[in-house]
Amino acid sequence: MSGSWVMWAVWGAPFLALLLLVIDDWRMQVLLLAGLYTLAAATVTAAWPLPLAAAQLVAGWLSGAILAIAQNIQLRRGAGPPSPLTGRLFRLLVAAAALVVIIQALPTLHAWWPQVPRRVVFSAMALFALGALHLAWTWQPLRLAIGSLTLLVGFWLIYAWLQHGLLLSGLLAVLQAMVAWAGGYLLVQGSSHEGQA
Amino acid sequence: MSALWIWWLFPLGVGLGLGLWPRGTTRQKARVAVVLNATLALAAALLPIDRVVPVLGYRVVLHLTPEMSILGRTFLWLDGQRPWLVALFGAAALWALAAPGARLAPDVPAWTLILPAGVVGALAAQDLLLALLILGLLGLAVIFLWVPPGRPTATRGPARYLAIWVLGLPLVLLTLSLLTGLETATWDNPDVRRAMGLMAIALALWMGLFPFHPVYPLLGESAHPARLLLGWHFLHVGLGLVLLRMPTVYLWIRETTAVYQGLRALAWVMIGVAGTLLPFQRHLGRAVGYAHMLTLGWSLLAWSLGSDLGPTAFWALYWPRTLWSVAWGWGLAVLALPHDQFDEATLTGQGRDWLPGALLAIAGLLAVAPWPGLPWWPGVAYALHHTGTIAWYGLVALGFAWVGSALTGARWARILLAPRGDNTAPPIRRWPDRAWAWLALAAWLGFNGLAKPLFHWATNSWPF
Repeated sequence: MSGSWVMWAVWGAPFLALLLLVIDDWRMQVLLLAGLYTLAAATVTAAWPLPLAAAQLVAGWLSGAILAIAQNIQLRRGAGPPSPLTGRLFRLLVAAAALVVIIQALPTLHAWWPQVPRRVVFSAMALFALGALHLAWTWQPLRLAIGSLTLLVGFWLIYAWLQHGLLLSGLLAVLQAMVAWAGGYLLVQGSSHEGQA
Repeated sequence: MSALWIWWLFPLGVGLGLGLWPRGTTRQKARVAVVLNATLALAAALLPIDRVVPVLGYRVVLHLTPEMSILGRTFLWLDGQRPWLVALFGAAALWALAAPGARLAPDVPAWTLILPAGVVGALAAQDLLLALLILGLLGLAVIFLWVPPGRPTATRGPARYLAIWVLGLPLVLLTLSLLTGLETATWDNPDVRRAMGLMAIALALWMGLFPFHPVYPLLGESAHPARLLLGWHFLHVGLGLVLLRMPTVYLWIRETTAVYQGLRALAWVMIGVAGTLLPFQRHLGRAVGYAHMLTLGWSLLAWSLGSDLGPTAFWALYWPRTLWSVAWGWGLAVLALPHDQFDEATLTGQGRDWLPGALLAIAGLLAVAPWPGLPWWPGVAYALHHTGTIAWYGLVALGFAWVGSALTGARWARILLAPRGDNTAPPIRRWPDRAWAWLALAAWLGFNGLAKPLFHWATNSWPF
């Protein structure tokens, strides 16, 4: 694993995931998600051929686009209130605590997947934890979808070093697009329900 | 020609086409789905795989090959697995048959083709990782079944399900990645223990035990029960059959009692928790969710018997449970026709307008516990017998299941058959189409012993 841009990508991905957790503006969230996929794809090029990583990147961007369209439809029916500053601070604190735990447990976690570079294990576990925090905190379909996709990006980082194959990587890309599609669908259906209630 | 073209890609394609086709009523689409599913089930019973079958007076021969290769991965369907095809497409035909009577939307018959085809794809995948990825996709696809388009639906339950499903899936896939190359390892291997730890967390998530608010009742509150039971049926049968393959791939599982004991403990916790919480539900949909959790507990108990005895118990539960799900889903759907709500206030007295629906709803709740005499009692009794000495916690869980289901049945009998009082929900006015025909069919299939020979045929043909 070489190249300073790969290094940047490995450390940048958890940072973007952290921003995703605290930022409420949906446009920024979609942009950050696209950035997260770009960094993850850059990291994965160290293990996968470029076309395979690019296919995942396209699937990720497509997921962002699906969520943006769904959110746009939902906004026409009225947006929800933004979360208070204290709520965001709390999220930041819990995320920081989760990252500290991951750093502490990194030697043990790396022993689970010794063939995966240590920095990548950290990045993957951080994305996994930050994605799971999204899922634990909200019922809101956009956040749920973004959290699920963050978590799946974390999984992809480890998976890329463990498995190679066109069909498996293709199915993983479909899986990510499907998560976005399901999240977007729930976003639209939920808002139509609220509109009619 | 590969057999998988017939039983995987063809029904999947037709199902997707049928679902996306904008015209046609439920009845018309159900007709296509019933005929196709029944034909596929019949073809599976008659056509051998990997043997030349003469047709048209020996001038033409049909040779179905077992394997198919897609992008370098092998998919295989052996002749010994044909009973599974009969079971999957036979059940799908029953669901499609019930769809018009339950007044379900036109998208449901298409799902009766997509779901069994998806399960066939997962079972055909030789690589367990690939099989679980396919099931992962199927698990996401059912969200579109549970939240039908163009109909106001509460999305809280499906949103929760999405989170739980996505949390569990990477854990299962990482488990299988960790186990790569450890087919003949031993339980002492640290990688094996780590993998099993991840698997246990994933199973607890998917089985609704963690994080303490089971997803099933939430889904029951949000989605239509007939749609839910259809999705659950195929998803969990697919998961069960794929996981039953694990001991045949990872040979150390057969000798590791800790794995089976863990599964058994999980099963008993599910049965106990669901049985305890079942009578306290004021929403019939939530009761359906807990009831499903309870029946999943029985399946898990069957699975804990391992790859030698497990399939027998699994198939013993399959047909009766299928019939129960179809009949129950249909009864509940009809019962809620005028208002599409399943809360206590709306359903009060509705059973008086349509007694068969009320009786089916009550019988469905009663039937989740293994009362002796019910068609699935032999399956549960077999599982109980072969799990060895019944521990005290098992007896307690069984007691909770019995008492819980009896109390729930009594509660909903009181609600559904009470005078309407000040319930302003419109009563069920129109007698559902072919209600008696369907009831007679369900009774005939369920109680005249047809389930028994089917069960014997299925279990005797277990390929591993």
